[in-house]
Amino acid sequence: MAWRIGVDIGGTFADLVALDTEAGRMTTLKVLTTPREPGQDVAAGLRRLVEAGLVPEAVERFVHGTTVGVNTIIQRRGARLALLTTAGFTDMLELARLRMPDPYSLFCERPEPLVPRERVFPVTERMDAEGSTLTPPDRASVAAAVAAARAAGCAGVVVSFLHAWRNPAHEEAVAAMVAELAPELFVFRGSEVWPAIREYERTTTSVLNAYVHPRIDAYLERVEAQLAAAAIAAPLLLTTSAGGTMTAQRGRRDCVGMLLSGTASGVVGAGVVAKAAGTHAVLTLDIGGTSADVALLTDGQPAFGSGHAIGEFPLAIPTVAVVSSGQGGGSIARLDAQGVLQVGPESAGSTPGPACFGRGGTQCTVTDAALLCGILGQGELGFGAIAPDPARAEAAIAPIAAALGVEAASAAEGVLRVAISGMLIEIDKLLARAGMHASELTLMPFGGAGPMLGALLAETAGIRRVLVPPVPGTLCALGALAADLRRDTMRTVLQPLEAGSWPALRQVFHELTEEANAALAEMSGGGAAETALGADLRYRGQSYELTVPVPAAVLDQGVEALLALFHAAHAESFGHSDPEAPVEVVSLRAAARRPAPPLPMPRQAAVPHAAAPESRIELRLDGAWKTAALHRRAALRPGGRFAGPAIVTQADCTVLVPAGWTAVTDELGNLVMEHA
Amino acid sequence: MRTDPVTLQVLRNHCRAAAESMATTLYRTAHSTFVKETEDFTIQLLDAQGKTCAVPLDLGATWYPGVDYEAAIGLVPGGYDPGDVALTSDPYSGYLSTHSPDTNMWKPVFHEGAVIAFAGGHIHNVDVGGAVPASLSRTLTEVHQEGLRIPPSKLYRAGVLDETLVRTILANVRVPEQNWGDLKALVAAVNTGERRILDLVRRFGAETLKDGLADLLDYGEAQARAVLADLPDGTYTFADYCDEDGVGGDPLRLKLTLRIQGDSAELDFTGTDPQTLSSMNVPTGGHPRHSLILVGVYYVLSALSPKILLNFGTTRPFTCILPEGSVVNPAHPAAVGMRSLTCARLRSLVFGAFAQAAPERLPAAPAGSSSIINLAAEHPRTGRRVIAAVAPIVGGGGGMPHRDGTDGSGADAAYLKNSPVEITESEAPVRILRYGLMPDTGGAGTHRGGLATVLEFTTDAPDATVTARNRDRTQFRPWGTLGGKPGAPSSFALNPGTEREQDLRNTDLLHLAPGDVVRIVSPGGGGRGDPAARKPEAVLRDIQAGRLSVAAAERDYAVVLRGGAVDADATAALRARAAPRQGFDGGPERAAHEARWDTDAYAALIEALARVPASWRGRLKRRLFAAVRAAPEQAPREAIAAVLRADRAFARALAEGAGRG
Repeated sequence: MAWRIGVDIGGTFADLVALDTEAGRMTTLKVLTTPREPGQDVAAGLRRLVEAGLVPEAVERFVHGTTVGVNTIIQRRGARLALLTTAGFTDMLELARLRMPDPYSLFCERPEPLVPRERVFPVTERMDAEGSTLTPPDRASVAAAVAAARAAGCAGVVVSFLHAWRNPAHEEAVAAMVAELAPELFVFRGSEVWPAIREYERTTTSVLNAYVHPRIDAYLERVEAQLAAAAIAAPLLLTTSAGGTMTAQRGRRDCVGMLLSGTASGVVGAGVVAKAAGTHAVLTLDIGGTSADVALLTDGQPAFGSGHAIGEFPLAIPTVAVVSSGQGGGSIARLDAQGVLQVGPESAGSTPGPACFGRGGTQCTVTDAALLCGILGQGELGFGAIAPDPARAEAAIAPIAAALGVEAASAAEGVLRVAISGMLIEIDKLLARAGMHASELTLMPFGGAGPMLGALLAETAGIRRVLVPPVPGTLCALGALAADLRRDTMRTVLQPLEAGSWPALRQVFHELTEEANAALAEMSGGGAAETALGADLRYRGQSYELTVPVPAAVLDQGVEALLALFHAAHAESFGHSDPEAPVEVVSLRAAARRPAPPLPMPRQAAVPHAAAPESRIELRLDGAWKTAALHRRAALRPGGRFAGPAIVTQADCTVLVPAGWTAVTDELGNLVMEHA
Repeated sequence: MRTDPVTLQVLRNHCRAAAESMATTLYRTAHSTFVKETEDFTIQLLDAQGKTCAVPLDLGATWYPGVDYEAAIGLVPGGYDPGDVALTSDPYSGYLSTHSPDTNMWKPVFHEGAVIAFAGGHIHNVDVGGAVPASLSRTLTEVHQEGLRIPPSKLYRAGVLDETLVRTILANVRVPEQNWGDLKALVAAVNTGERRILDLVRRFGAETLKDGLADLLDYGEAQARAVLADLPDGTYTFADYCDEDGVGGDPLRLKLTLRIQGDSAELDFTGTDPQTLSSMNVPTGGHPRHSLILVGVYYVLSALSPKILLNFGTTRPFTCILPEGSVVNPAHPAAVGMRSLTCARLRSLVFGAFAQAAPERLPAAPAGSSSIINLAAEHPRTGRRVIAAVAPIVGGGGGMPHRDGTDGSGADAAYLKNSPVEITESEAPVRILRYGLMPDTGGAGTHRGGLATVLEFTTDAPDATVTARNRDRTQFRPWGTLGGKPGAPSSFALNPGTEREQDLRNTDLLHLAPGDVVRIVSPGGGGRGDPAARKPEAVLRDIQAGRLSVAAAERDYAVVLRGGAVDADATAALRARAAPRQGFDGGPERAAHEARWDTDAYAALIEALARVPASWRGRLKRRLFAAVRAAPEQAPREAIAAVLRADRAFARALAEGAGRG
């Protein structure tokens, strides 16, 4: 008997998925999070799993996703740090890349750096762009910086110098001096956290890493203690920002690697479902309380990107590419001075939450509107934890309805339409960036509010197919179970891609592969690993690069093969290429991964039949009350087909099937909706 | 409004989404690094009259949310058919493109045989030929020297590309593949726009869409009018200056009389200097709502009403009076390439006028001069000639009602990006010695101005040429308000701190010897409020953060430090002795200039200039300034009169000017 457990801690709920590998049975449950006592929620969930038959000693894999890192940054509760920079560049965090959010506003502002300028200290040292020493590190300037950092009560130090991606010697020497002068300070080096060109991005990523380090360290210790107390011997694994997993031991230092933990594993979970269902191109849609997050999947594989904003800071490391828009279930509706309806970005969040939750919220939210339209309130919400109150929702929307001169339900429908049209903006940008058309996509909604709004959004965006997984509320925990153990390495090389440099580049690929495999072996005892290579390439003179996957065979085929791949990728991404132009390699990458044991995806033969509704309800859509079918998800069988308008209720969410859509349950238990 | 308040917001979001996908398509498929890196492009979704209804907010420049294509659209011969794509880059026909590197393009969108909307946008081409690489220089005097000009013309006729036009364009520019690549990206963007507008027709229906677009303009207008209605009625006059009206020239004065009445405003530029002999002219054709003139207004409205909808409707409550032959309405063929330098001053001019109407709600002057530094040299290591953008040197924002000005960026320069030092040093034979904030440069105030940026670099190349575009504010400082002091002026020095030090002021072209050190410092933002009211702790924090020297703390803020802490008694005593400060402060240079060039002197100047044809005015202004300088004992009005009496050529021009009425 063996068990695997995936746990994802969100804002309101902690989701657990436990897989009994022999029985092929999956148990999912939700418990309330305990932000004041981190780790207690995990313990509570484990107790309930034991009640449900879990044998702790038989747990062979325990994977955890957490938002503790992101919350530390958003709430600015991280470590007090000092930053040591090359003399002449102490304002790097203030200047950032100059361009600011909201550039139309005279009052636009940049976020306050995580290390204020008074704790940034210059070190006399300089390396040139080739990595040769111009001025060796000056010990006196380091001693002065360390003394000042101590006087300022710092807990740790980030050392980040110009051109350290090319040659980390100065950073290493200075880190050693700091360790010697002040052994109580923890130290991170820029070249260690993210050895890539671009000093601001590397430095701010290193600062993020150091900033969350003590809190993550303490948190992981608590979770490990909970596991030990629960007699679970499997090592604690963490989901990473890149959609893989790593050991908790590594996560203690590689903190940026897990900042996007939960978000990324939701996309990975969606990928598992998409792959099993044989769906080629998927747009995932995770609607929570404050935002709607979307990502693209191709054959179950997420797209990657860098520069994802964590709080207000760009994270240079590659992460699963997710974009957010400020419309979620808690987004607040209001009328502006001209009487035009606005929804979000202000949100009631989980506290006080939507008015209908009766937790003190009085403003009308998207969730309240859905309740008034009859979409919610037909079954239980959040595993029965919440009983929405329509009277409170009605009171909240009354001023808006009165000003619009319409009845409450009509106003509520308007709130949903505006919220959906707001989400469209980010989706359209994402598709335009990817050069994709909505008609090729299947939308996979999850999160508390995704399935309720998914089909409406699909209709607005021109997407004709929607797939709702069996338990959409726990996709993040499912992703944690499914994520591969993975280690990414990269090195900036900045060289021409040509015959002359090819042997050296092959050598770098080789070293990166070794490095990634060694790290993987260190995380778990060995066994077969797959390595994927990539190169960040550009035409000479360009200031942005394109990451091109490099099949292993290319290393033997030679430089021409890689050039051809780049020209093709450039044409694919940007619509044009120039096979005559010289190409530069900015960075090389290797990712070693050991695939997670496959998840059983039990199939049940689909027998075509008409699914009989449990009852009829009234639904407000398209400007009128209409009779709609009410289905219980648990009662739907593979092959069961029904037409909208209909509502499907289940423990973790509500699915809306609007008029004009038909829905059928597939052999995996997915509810697949198609627009006529 | 014809559209209900729910559908209107839904349509607004759909239009924004369409504009964002056009912009993303352009950004993704553009060829030149310039377009990608500077984001010097814009996108518009236009109604059937060519008025901008929606723009993207996440990509591109901030200058054209209210731009009006109508005149340029009308200048294309032969009307429109489905599949047409038109473009223009001529600053003197339609006044849409405002210097020749800018190409504006539009595509009509047909529904049932009639134009229902247009999709439009512009890019800045790196080079369009002409006298100098990149086509822009203050030394140019006629638009003919500034490269190829394309009057409003069809690039595609019913879907068929005009090969002759393309060949003509490509034959006239220095890097033809790049221009063609960027033009194709713009074509892709307007095609995306057409597809998206047709989607909107299907979704909303043609009538609802037409009404909705009209209502979006009305909605933008209503928001702008609400802001104006909230400002006190009155007449507010303001002037601001560019240091020079050309290389080594005289100050260029821009003058604005802002008349706010109810929910409307008139912006009267009467009294603004004549068109210059250099390329700093801003071609507007006198359009009463020209987007380039109203950029400052967009910023003011966004400051007073965050998240305000910006479109052509926004501009309707405003009427601009742009005198013919002035720098804000030059006559053909005056050169216009470097209009961006003047535009920066136009923005601070507008900020200054509105700051008089609502000083308590608006900031002091932003730095207002962003030098763009490029270096061309042979790389000693590779032997290859490189041209690299070193960095834009952007100064801070002005002190705000609620906080200090942003350091090193902000306000109307917040859309600019820098390049990483590591990339610059890898590509060009440059070593950057310092890139950061310059202490003691933010105008002192209760809320101080944002600090200036300093860049110091050296080169080991044998033949490096440095160009510095948009240099200004070495003389006329970013002003302070409500008792705040002005920001520090900009500076440009060769080999600072050595015997070979040279003050380069507003030089825009410089040849370096190996080992030469260049230091360029932007202006700082203006301060807001009496510096003596600034909390001593805030002053102390600036000192600890290296933003302020101890000496400046005592001099500018009357804060005394002892042993690293504020000496409260000494500070209180010093502050008690300080004279309270209030009102506007343009700095000593401006005060000195205005002591000589007072209201009467400028009145005499403008009267004199108004009497000659536009093409004479720049030259006459130089003569008159020289005469006033040469006669320090004489009242300027008399010195001016003397020139007019004595100079035959001008007298003849005067007579001709009078003859033309």
